[in-house]
Amino acid sequence: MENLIALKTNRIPWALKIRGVLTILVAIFIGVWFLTPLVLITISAFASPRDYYQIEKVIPTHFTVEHFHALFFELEGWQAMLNSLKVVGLTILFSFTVGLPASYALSRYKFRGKSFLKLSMLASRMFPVMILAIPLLIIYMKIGLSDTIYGVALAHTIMVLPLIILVSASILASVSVDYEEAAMIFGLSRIHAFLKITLPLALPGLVASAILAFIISWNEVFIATILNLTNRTLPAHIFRSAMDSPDYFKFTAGFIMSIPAVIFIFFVRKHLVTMWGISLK
Amino acid sequence: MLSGRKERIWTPYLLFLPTLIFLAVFVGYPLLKTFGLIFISESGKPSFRNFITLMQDSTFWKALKYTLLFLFTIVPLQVLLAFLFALFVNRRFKGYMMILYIIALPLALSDVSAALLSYNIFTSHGFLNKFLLKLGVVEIPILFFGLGLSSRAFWVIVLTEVWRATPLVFVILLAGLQVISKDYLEAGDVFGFSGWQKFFHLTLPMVMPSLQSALLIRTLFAFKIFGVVWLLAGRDLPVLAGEAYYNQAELFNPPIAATYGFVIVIICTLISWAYITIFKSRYLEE
Amino acid sequence: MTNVTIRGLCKYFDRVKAVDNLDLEIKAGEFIVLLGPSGCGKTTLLRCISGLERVTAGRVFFDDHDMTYLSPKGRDISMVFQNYAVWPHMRVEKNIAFPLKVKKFPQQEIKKRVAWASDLLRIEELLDRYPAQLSGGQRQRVAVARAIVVEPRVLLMDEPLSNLDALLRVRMRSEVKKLQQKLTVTTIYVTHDQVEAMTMGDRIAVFNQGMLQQVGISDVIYHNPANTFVAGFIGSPQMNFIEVEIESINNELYLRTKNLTIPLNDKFKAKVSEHSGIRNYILGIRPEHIYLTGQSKTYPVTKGKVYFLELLRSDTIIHLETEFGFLVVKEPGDLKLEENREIEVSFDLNRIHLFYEDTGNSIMT
Ligand SMILES: Nc1ncnc2c1ncn2[C@@H]1O[C@H](COP(=O)(O)OP(=O)(O)OP(=O)(O)O)[C@@H](O)[C@H]1O
Ligand SMILES: [Mg+2]
Repeated sequence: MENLIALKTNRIPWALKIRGVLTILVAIFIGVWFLTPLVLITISAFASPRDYYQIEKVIPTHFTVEHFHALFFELEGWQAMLNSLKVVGLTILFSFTVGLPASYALSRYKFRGKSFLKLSMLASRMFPVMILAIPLLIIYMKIGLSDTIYGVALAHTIMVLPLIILVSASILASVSVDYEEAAMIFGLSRIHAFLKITLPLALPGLVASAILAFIISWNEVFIATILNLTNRTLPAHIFRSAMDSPDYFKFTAGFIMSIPAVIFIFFVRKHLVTMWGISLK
Repeated sequence: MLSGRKERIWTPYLLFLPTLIFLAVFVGYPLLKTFGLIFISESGKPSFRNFITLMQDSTFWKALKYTLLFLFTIVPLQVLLAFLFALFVNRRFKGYMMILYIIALPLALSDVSAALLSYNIFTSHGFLNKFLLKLGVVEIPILFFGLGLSSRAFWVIVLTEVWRATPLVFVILLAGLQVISKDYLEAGDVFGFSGWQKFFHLTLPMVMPSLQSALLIRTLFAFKIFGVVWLLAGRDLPVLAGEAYYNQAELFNPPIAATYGFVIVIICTLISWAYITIFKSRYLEE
Repeated sequence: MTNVTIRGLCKYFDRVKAVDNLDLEIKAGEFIVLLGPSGCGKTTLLRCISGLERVTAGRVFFDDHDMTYLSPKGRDISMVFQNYAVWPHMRVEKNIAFPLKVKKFPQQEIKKRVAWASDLLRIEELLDRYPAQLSGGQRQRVAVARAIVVEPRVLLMDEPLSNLDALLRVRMRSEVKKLQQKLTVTTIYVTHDQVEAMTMGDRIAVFNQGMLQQVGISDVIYHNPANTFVAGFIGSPQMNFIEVEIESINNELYLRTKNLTIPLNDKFKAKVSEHSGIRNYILGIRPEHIYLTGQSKTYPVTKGKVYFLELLRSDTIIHLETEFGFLVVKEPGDLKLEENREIEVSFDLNRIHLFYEDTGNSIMT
């Protein structure tokens, strides 16, 4: 065994060592490049205004949570956040209610026009949905949906629906038909079989696509700003008011908006490549 | 199958019905409405007035110009950077998952938050200026935002967008790289390919579909660029989507806003169509 | 022509010892077959020889050159991958031609070789297709064509015929063998099909769990297996193994268990008396070396009840239930025996193998 170890250690080429060092350097560059803005906004979100306006103070030493308090309770941030959550929840609800049957059809049936429907779903992903906000506002005003969270949620559903259909279809397709058919052999109806067998098996994947919908809706600002004047979502609220507020409020707002996004990435980190790989193609 | 023939024929269409109805009501009808807004004058007659107004408006051309400028600076940078990162991470060195995670962090960030993150660095009291002052590199803060500084703001916006959206491209490209079986490259090794030959004759052609779809998605996105620009430069750097927003929300002029939107739709449609006809990966077809 | 020397080669994946302290000498121009069950480390060994896998310990030499840390590019080898690795974005023709192009062969020569290989492997009509449009077997043939056209120093093949239909496989066996003789290229051929190994290899190297069990010509492997693993792995149906004890009766040595008593063959006597302390052995006998008494005049040994018959028409395989366990007997031709009938069988005494019970090694080594 001793001479085995001796053999092992000698003659590892230099090129490999240089490679290792290069890898570490690039990794450090990537770390700095992507983390710096996030770290800095966190510092600024808690920095006291006095430190911020002191030009020679690069890293603040006094911290406060006052901005959060002010933003949430004096500047209607809390209300906006609740609106955002409601919009997101409704968007997910609408898009799954409408879209899940369609994705089931795509994953389980062969029928004429299937590839056309699939293609139109892909095409509607390319469509710049935001511009629909303008006619939608006019329509909403007529039917009393303007300035409501339902209106925004429905508009967001347009954006999310094709995505949900395509991603869910590929997730459902990955659950073997055999399980469902086995259940049907044992006397369950097709709907029952779907609810009892396929849905639980596909649930983790569907949750992931729901999170995707969450992020899209949570981040959307153009439609939300145009459709609603008073019942604003958080991004719309910040978008409209941020530039008129003192800098430290901007940073706190930026921080608050970034948190869910970063947490989201944390939760889906294992499925990142597969999930976004499907959904972005 | 257990179910009757009738059921089998109609079920998929029935399942698709809610989606089709929804899209008809919330996409089809508003689109018609858009056409109405643009091409029918207040007196109810067909008219190209809105279109002509737009074409004669220098702001429109400026907006188009800046949109394209952003497109041609941001997209190549993003794709190149993302491709390099993806190639790097795909080497699967020890701890590559950590790096993947770090790169992905901005993935879900909105343009509004990215703008604020960037403002935090580049504003007059921002970290960059404080840092440079401390080092004595500059005497007074460098201003990036404000009147007459639009070219500086331009580059800050480019940087911000590259930072924010590189991860999106990265993930698409990494997914594309990961489905390339290791064996294909090993076969290249065995037959004596050099590193470059492997890259240009094996990796690149095989990742091309992902590269193309990333390119398309980012190009389409670039035409919708709005939040970052609006927050950091306002109308000093007009862009198409920004003008649509401005006409709707500030000037309350839906017909012109809709016309801007219409232009975006046309451009996006043309690009998608061109993309589909030009790029086809033959080997993926059965 | 290149000879390949492997010395003390180890490849560990964490705790899995895929290849464990392997020594093997492959002569220039030899066709050696690596044979072993699934997961025994055959592919890993090929990858170590090709340089795709970095060895944990040990050395690989081509002639006198130490190749251990050389990249595959520097080794002038070619390989048929177990899962083909036919490049999906190149048409069949380009797949075969491209390695030649990389090696800077002249255009004329490339054309000639592609034509030659595609004719040999019967893939001329497929040259314009993409791999996605091929069946598994067709893809495999493309992989073989690609590997042979470059005329390497060492040709590595990882189960290159596994996916072909029986007829084509038999034909390809002889084609590959003839080709190798013509090119006289040192060839390392992996398979888990023993018929392939027997018919193709100049020598066979049998593996199990990362360890080399025995190397030799097929005759030796079949008739003098080095241990119970090789004995059991080669031959179909499998060799019968019976635990026996040495007993001395009237100064004669016998192998005994239950109702079985066999006189010890002369060739074993010296060895057995050398290790007179050991009493327990494993007797091995191939099904084809057991005969039904009455058909042959060999030594009658034991009785058993017919438990089950496999009628292969060319042969009949009889499973007998005996007092010391099941015994499998292979008789040529169609045989009609009712189940549960008691019959007598006899062993060919010259074809008996004897292994130590503890190590499983043949006592003849
Ligand atoms: N990259 C790897 N990481 C971890 N273990 C591995 C790796 N490659 C192979 N192994 C393990 O090493 C052992 C040998 O694998 P190998 O592929 O060499 O077997 P094989 O003899 O080629 O089998 P088969 O006939 O099925 O192809 C197996 O136990 C396998 O699980
Ligand atoms: Mg193998």
